[in-house]
Amino acid sequence: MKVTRRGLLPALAAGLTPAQAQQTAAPCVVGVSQERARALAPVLARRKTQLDALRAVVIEDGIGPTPGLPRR
Amino acid sequence: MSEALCWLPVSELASLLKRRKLSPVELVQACLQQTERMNPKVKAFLTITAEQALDQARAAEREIRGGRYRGPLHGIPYAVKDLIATKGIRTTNGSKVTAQWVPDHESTVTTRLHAAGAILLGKLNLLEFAMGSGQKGLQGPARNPWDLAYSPSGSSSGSGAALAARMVPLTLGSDTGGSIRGPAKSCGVVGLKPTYGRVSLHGVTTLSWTLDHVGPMARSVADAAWMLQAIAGFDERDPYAAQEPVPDYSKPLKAPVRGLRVGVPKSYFFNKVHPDTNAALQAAMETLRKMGVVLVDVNIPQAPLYSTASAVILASESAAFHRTRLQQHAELLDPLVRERLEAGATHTAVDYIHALRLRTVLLRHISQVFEKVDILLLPAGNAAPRLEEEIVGTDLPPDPPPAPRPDTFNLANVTGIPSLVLPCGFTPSSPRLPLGIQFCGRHFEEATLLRLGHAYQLVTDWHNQKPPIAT
Repeated sequence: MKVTRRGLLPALAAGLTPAQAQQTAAPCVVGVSQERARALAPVLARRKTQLDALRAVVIEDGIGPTPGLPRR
Repeated sequence: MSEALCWLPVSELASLLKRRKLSPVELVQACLQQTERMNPKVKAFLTITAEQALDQARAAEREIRGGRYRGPLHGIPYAVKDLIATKGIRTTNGSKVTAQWVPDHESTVTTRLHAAGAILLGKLNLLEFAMGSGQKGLQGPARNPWDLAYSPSGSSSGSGAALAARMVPLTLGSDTGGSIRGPAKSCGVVGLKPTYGRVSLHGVTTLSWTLDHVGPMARSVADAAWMLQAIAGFDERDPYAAQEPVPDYSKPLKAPVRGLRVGVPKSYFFNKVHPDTNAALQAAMETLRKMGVVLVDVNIPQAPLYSTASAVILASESAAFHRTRLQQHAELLDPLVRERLEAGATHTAVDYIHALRLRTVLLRHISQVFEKVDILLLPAGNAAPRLEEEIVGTDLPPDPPPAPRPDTFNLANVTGIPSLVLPCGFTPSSPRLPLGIQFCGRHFEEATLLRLGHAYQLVTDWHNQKPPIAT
């Protein structure tokens, strides 16, 4: 069976534990089997650190007093 | 004489060839003999094109004898990382998936080297698709000639190892996050990642369209300059190739470096550098001072974000490029490559675009740094790790990874600025492993890097050291 949707519920449906699903946030890889999704869960959790760092970056958008890196 | 030829710099070989004191056939035979002796241990070559190389050497000999000398690379042997397409010659990408691929087209870089009269000796080992683990490899991993238990680093592992083992005087590597510069550092040779767009990527297997570069590796800065001269310039077959004119890279080699301003970051990049590496870097800086170079403290704003942006861009673009291979041949991939591609496919379009947007901000930051200095000096990483200590399979390090040092390579990939790594010392205890220093410059100012690197090599001897195994 292929997992084709993102989100917590599909992650649980794919066999991840609730903790894993919470940890990975978007653990359902399009076109990847349940078995692979399970194997990838810790990998995605580790990647999430990098993604969180990226998502924490605020770039000014020029339409208001947005604090953060100046836009270009 | 035959073995001694393998130790000569390209400038001397070129002079001998031009004056007909040396035959290209004799030189190719010497390199092939050294390769035959070294490759079973070092595993730098995946494919050796001996017959074709000897045919080309005989043709070069006829041309030179006939007064048709093409220039300083005429008759000089070279080899390329095996993700560079060579028409009619197997190009494996270091992968079982493409192990039997024989391209019907030629890359621009090899086309240009061929036009310059250089002679292809073969295709070099690499990490699978430039992103695999150090312990794998289509025919086993390349090994570091300074100690076979150690890694030559990747992903241009064979390109660094072949140079250090004196199999060939020039190689090409590719660099998406340090893959030219890491092996150059670990093998005690020179690696130049040119400015993005300076050298055509046509025929070079993609890892990340935004971060990929191809560039020269050599045993000296001067040799790398000669190779860059042959491969640089606009190419209509590469949509990202720059129209910027190509300067004469040999001229700056004779220019003085006194007064050059070299920026040394005050924080981040030198954090947690190994004491051996730090000692070598400090000694190199002292040498630069004595040469009249002005060292200036600089601040690189948001330094950790270069690797953040790189990680998301690389993962997203590589997942897109290899999408079909992942769907159809996942079982053939190195588990680490598979894992990285699958993980990359989970990134959202918003994350990817945000990373690209961050890149443009970082680009402006680094441009401001170069308003104050001519060159940025960075570590090039610590000494090579043991092969068995490199990441393998799905056994990734814990989060956060126990990184011995901050990333020092991605800055140049994310911003596209040129970057040169050259040897600056050795580990003081056994095994004796090379250490390197990194110079980064403004866009399209490779000449300034070459000028400083060459001047440094005129007063130091690190690049002339030879691994015991190769003698």
